[in-house]
Amino acid sequence: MAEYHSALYEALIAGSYGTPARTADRLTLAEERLGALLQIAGWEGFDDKLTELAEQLGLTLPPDYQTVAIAQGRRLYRTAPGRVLIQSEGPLPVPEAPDLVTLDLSHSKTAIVLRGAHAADVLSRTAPMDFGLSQFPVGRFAQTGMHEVAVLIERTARDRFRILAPYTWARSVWDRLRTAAIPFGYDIPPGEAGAETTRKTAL
Amino acid sequence: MKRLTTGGRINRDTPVTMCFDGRDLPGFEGDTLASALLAAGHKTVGRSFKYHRRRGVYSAGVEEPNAMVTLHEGAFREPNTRATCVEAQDGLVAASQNAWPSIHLDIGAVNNLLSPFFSAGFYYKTFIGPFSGTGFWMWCERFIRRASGMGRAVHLPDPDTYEKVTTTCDVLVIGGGAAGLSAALAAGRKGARVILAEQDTVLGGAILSDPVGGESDFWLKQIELELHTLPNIRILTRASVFGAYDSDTYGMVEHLSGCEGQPRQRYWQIHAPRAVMATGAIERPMVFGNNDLSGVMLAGAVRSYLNRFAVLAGQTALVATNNDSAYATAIDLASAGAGITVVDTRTEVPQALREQAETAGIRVLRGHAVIAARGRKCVTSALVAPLDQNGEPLQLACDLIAASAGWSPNVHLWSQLYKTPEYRPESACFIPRALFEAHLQPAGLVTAPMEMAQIITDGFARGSEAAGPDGDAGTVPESFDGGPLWSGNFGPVWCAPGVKGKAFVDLQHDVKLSDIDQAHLEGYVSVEHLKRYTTTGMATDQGKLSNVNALARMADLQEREIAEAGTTTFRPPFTPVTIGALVGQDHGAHVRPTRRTPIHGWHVAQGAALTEAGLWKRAWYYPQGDEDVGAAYRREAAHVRAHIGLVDVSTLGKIAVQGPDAATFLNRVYTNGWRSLRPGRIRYGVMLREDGIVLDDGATARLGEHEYFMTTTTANAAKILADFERRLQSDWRDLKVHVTSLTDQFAAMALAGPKSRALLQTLCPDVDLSPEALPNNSFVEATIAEHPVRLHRMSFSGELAYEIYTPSGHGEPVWQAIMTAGAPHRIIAYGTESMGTLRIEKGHVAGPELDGRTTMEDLGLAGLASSKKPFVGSVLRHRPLLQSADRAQLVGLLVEGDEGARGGSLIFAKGAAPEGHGEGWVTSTTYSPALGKYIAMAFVKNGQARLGEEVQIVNLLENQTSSARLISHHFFDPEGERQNG
Repeated sequence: MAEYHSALYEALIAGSYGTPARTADRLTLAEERLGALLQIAGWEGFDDKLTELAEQLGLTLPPDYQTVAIAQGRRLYRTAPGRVLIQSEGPLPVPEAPDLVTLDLSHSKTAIVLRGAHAADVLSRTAPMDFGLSQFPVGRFAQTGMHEVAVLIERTARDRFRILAPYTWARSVWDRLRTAAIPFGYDIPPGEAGAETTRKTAL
Repeated sequence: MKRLTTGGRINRDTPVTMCFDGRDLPGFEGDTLASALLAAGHKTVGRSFKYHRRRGVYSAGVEEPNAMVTLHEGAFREPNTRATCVEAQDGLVAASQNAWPSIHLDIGAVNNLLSPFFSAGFYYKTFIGPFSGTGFWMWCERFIRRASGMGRAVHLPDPDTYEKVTTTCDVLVIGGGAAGLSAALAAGRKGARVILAEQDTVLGGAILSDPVGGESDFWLKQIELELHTLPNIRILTRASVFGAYDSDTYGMVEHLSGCEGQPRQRYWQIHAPRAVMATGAIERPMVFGNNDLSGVMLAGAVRSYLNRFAVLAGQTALVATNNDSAYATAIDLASAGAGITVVDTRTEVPQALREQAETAGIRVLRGHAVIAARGRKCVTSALVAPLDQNGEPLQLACDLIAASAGWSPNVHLWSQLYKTPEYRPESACFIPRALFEAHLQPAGLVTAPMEMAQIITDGFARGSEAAGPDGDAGTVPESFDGGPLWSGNFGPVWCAPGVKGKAFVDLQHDVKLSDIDQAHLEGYVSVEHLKRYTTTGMATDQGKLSNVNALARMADLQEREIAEAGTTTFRPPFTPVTIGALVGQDHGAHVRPTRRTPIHGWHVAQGAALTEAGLWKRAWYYPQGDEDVGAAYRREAAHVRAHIGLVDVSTLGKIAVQGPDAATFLNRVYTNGWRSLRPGRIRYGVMLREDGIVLDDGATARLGEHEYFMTTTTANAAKILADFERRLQSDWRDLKVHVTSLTDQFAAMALAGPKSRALLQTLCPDVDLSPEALPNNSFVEATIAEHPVRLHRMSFSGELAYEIYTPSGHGEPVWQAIMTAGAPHRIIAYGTESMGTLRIEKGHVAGPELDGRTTMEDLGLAGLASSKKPFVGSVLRHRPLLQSADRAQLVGLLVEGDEGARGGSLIFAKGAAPEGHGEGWVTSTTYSPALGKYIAMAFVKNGQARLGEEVQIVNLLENQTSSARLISHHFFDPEGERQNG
């Protein structure tokens, strides 16, 4: 079976890092396998077509460009007028719909997970956004710049964020996050045994 | 000077020991370095900028002009730090500066004797002009620069760490004094997210200068208690807001401990739709002779040292003032046992103040002013004269002159946003103009209020307004007795007539009253010009102490009001900011992001030498043994021609072009036609800019009816995608096309060499790779070691070659599988240097040829321009200038000798003098293992008609000349038999 080679392969060294004295509220930094990522794009009447398509996948089309639709292990992000990204933990059937175009982007992004009480503090040191819970609640995503790299940041839980970084930039973003996390202390969980960290996994 | 045994806000239970100029300096927790120096009797703490005059501590805050010290040692060294803002810490090492060998015996003090020569404009008048040209001045400048400045920075890497943080709040309150606290309270009670930023170590502002345990302390504790109960208020102390910028953005630096793993400073970029500026006011100096002598201090500072730090700055003090505020200092000093004389320029003093002073045993000289301080190393007496000049000057013995010429509101942040403040004559100060729509609103002392109740009410109202209409701010906190303020009863005299000796307007830059006078005599009428000519208010002072006095003098001389003379505006930062804080974590490896190909790890593991291509890291060459780049690329290129090689080309721009109008879109962006391209085939194309100049080239594959896979050059990938997006969103909204970057989705590698088909066939046995089934410029889907790949048969090297595309996560496994399977064919990995050699041998154009100046005709690609359809650049490419017959055309150079040619060298006809721009230039150059000679590509005027001609290649930078013959730039296999075979 073909292996997936992570963009962070050389960097995913399990261990505890950062300020040694800080033991409470440590952060976790890990990679999460993305699964399938599909872009669907269209033109006039895109929303109507996509609403129908999303329902087939068990999803509801969000009203804006910052709310994630989640259902059945799938997530839908409206990234631009006439464009959405659908991510699925499992295989994702490529929908056939007239006047829509689909594009497999499963390998274009690396999902970095940042978890811990100070996760928002670390992000505020890397991206020019307000990550306060009231302004950036769970289920919200934003497309912004992190270390001058275009990323998509999603708050998946109160203290957990997922950053979709372009595959070829992922290592640079990862390194920058590690630097920002040093004052708080952080752990990289063990490789393949870790729930969120993958170096090489079978597809 | 002495430390009192009781009182103050210092913690006597926690003594600290610091080091100043190599000697122990005792202090307590709660001290500043300046208060510890005063308590220890240090009368001289520095030397002045220009004249090297002895200087002592002058103020108690960010306005300090004299006590500039260097902190720490070695790589941690930090010059030009104000001792008044440095928190006393055990082990702190500080040193005086601008003196040699010491502040007590300074060679530079000779400048004081030469001061008549060092007037305003001295450097320019003396060193510019004696000789024609700027050479003399430039020579002198080196020595002037060496002699100028204050502390010295080190050139060692800074071992401290810094952070940059972005945050957002509803209301930013700048200043933690009475007004700021009231504003934060009101906004916080209404539920707004508030950041309260105070530059001091604790909240309180001017309240901290009041005697301990008074009414103001009680008020402060009550407000602090309530603020701490509000979770929506974030209180940051040691945090100085230094800049106000567009889009409601503020810059702030927070000073931290710098202990292990923690940053020393944190730079905050705060986005606040509303802000309250409760930045208070700074006391102004009185201008009189020798007003820089140690022992002359600001009256408010004397009170701060007394009540906050328990330091009595003098036993026999003269309080020189023109307003009420200094009476508080006089009364507190008297209470502490000092003998006090108040020298008030006013003839009328409020009766209540007079009575308080008399009760405290204070002598008040009304209608008098200090005209000079006397003393050698420090103040020993003062010369006091009646302002009506009716009587002789008095010489009064004293060891301290506490002076107040009024106060200047800290309008800096406001001015950074809204330009010029307005002058209020009755308070003799500049205050922010009333701008009701402004997002930054002033509150408190900065508006020159008349009493404390007004400060609290004003702050509370601004905070409530900033929080918006929702919520309940509750009632305004009750006021307390804040003592006399300057703004209510002000006498305009800030400088007595007949001052004796050097009277300084700007202590930090040694600008004297006479310098202002001289500038006036020389015709300077604009305040901006005056500032720059005399340097008053420049550098870190930023007008804090000197502005109004300089303006007042200038206005007097011009017989105008200060309001008419105007003021300079202020620019960030309000207080100096360490560059390290602005840089934050973005240095070293993080100075810019780095892009790695999906196969990067393999290259590093194999010991590849890496090169930077934009932000990409690429494998440059793979050295064997002690090979340098020159040897390695020759070996690699020769090996590919003879056997087989694999190169990582993942950096190529890759763009999906999708939609029913995709072919139309390609027809518009490329110069050639695309409707006839069948699925499964690939076509080379050229793009032009609107002006007809070549923009980029690349190959595009048709994947399906409405789907294309485009490649661009590495350098232009982002630019071209952005251009496509712009066109589709503005110019060509009628086209149903989407473009998406696939650069991150796919790894790409080029397999080149005569054995490449044979190798691929072993890897993909189920795919027919014969020339008939897969001719040049076609592709096929396949798998390699179970990884999905798409094989594009196309060549950039002139060899039989395939570009292999695979999803990025498969990139390294596919690469590894090819290298393993290729071992029997003697496969090697080759880098970008040999890749360049192969493409030059083949005569393919690349970045050096597509330099933004060349046309399709110049490049010999005119045949790719369709005449049957319009495309971007199709009109302007016919401009006469671009069609001119004598334009430089692409040719090949066969270079004589063993040196080759340098890119950028100029080309001259044989025998012609190498003058001017020549007849062309070299673009790409290499040694060709295939030809056994140095070759190059070049643009030469009318070059195609001159093939066979001998020319000179002149490298003017390195003074080298060589000979070459013009030939076709298709050096190797011009018929394409190898790549098409």
